[in-house]
Amino acid sequence: MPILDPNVVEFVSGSPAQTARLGERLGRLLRGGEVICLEGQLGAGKTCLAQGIGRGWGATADLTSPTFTLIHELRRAPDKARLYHVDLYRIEQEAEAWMLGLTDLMDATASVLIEWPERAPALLPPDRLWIKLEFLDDTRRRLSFDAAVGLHLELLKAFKKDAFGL
Amino acid sequence: MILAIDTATRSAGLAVHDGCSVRAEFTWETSDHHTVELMPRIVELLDQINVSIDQLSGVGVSIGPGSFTGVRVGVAVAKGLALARGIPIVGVRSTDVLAYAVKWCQPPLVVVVRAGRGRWIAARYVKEAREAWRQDGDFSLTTAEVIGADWEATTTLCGELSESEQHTVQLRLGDRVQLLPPAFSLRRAGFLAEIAWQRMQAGQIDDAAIVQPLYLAPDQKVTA
Repeated sequence: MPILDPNVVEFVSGSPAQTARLGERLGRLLRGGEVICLEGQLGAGKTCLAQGIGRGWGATADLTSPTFTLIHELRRAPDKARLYHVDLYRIEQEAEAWMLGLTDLMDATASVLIEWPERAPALLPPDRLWIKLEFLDDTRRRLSFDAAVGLHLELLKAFKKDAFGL
Repeated sequence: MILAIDTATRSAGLAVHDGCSVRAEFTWETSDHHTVELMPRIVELLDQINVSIDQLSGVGVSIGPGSFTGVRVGVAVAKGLALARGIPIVGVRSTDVLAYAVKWCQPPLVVVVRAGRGRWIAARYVKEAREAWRQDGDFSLTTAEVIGADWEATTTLCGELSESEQHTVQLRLGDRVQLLPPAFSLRRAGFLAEIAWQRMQAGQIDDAAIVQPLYLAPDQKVTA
């Protein structure tokens, strides 16, 4: 795992189960207000990671990909916190993402997970966690976590410590 | 009797105005639940003063700028009422409502509403002598860290500023900025109702089919 850049964490996951477990660790650290972008081709493991994040966060139901509904809102019973799971796969123009009210979601106290974030780059805040998932072979994926500033840099540091003891 | 609806930001408001006075007014902070909160509160407000929906002769609505969903909720409800009841509708800018409330202030005036993620949409207002405020130039996107860098004269700033934003602005701009107390920075639907009433009297009625939310371009850049 190259740790030269303090703003990036890289990890090779050996299985979907491992990807999900990593997501769980990240999900447990969410306090609200985060924007987490999941970039990767179909089958790269975005939904698998998102499911782990949802579980760690405390969602009572399993996350399913909102490919057709575009946005799923999940609630957590004890504190009524909200987690939005957004899928921009079917978005053709950035204006369509804007018409979804995406900017409002990212302003609230909720945590927001966005699949296919590269479909609407101008709408995303500079303070965010960007996770890229890449194919290595049938089961292995390279995951890189990247945060430049603010809340998400703190989140990345906490995640690095929690998941890898660094 | 007209109903004023403002859900442009998290600060939402309703008022009933009979042309002479504000009969009822309600302002509250929503937690992003405009959709579920608005209709019951309209019913409650009308019940409170024993006014039935048939007695409404017009609707005033805040068309933004503000939050994407918030503005849409208010505009949709107002249009629904106007079309269903066959009554006139007047769309008013959220910043005009704030400026109207401080009509006695000295110019120049800058009014801000929340645009999300710590940013504001700002509008600058000027006036000649005792006239009403007139918006000077277009809306801009700004923050507490950059606003006012180009102000020459002492400018009055009002609108949705948090305590820390007030502090930041005051520290940065010193006596080039005049901040108003929180109550003057609240967007109150009573003022919206009054503006709408005056426009209706002057025959400046909007077409319910055409009234639409006022948004800034999604890619607008932050400036001073």
